[in-house]
Amino acid sequence: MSEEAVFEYDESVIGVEEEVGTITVEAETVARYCELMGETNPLYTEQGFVPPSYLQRMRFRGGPDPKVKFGNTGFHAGSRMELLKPVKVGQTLTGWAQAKEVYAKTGRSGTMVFQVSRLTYRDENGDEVAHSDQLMVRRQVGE
Amino acid sequence: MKTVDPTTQTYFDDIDLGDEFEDEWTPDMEQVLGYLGLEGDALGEGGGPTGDGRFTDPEGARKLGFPKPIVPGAFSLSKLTKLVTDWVGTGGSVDFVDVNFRRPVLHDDALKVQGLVTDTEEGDGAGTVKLDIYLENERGERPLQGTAVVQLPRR
Repeated sequence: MSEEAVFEYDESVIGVEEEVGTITVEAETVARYCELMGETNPLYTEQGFVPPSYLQRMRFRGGPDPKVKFGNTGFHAGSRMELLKPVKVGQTLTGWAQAKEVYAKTGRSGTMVFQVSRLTYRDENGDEVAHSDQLMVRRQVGE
Repeated sequence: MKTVDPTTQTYFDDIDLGDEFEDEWTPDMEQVLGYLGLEGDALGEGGGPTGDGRFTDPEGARKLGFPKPIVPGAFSLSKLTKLVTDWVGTGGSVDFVDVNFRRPVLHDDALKVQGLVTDTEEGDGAGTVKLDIYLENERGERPLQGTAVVQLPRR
C-alpha cells in the first residue's frame, strides 16, 4: 500500500479561464518558421495557412498558476493539440488559459504530481480554433 | 517504410492498417538556436526560456545530468507534427496530435520521425485515420511517442 502523496496547490484557480493576450500571425514570422522546420507543404509555404505546430510557438502570457508545491524538479511530460479550424496568416488570435487539474500518482519510482493546463485559441469572432493541453510533472529527485 | 512528400496526396482509399512512413532529423546547435531565436523574437526578447543552459550550453546541460544539451520539447513535437501534416498533404487535415515526452532528445541525435496507421474509419468524402507517431533515436529509444487522428480525402 502506498502512502498518500502530500503536496500543496492553490485550488481556487482550477477551472478558471483567463485571457492571456492577443497575437496577430505575421507572414514574416511564419515564413521564418517554415524555413527553420524545412517546411515544403504548399499549404504553409504558398497558400497562407499556418502550420499547426506554429500555434505552440505563439507566446501568450502565463495563465492561472496553481503554484504546485512538491519535489525539487519539474519537466514537460506531454502535449495534446486539438485543431478545430485552420488558421491563416494575418489572423489575430486571442489566448485563453486555464489550469485544468492537479493530481498525484505514486509508483515504484515514487510520487509524481501532475498539472494539466489548457490554452484555447480563439479567432476574431470568438470561435475556438484550437486547444493545447500541456502536462507538467513535478517530482523529488535525490534527498 | 515510405518517406513522405506533402506535394503527393495520400488518399484514404490507398492506405491500410500497418502502413508506415518516416522522415529523418538530426537536430544540431544551429537549429536549436534558430528555434529559440524565433521564440525570442516572438517574445520581443532574446535567449532561451529556462535560463539554465539546458538547450544550448554543454556545461549547463552536464550540471543538470544530461550528457549533451537537449532539444526543446516543443521543437521535437513540431517535427513530429510536421511528419503528420506532410503525410496528410494539402487535401487532408489534422484533428489532434497527442504526445508524451518520455526522455530528452539530445543535440546531434540521429532520429527517425515515424508514423504507423493503426485504425481507419470510412466517412463521407473523407476517412478518419488513427496513427501512432514517434521519434526513435540511434539507441533504439523513443523519446517522444504518441498518437494523431487525421482526415484523408477519398479518391
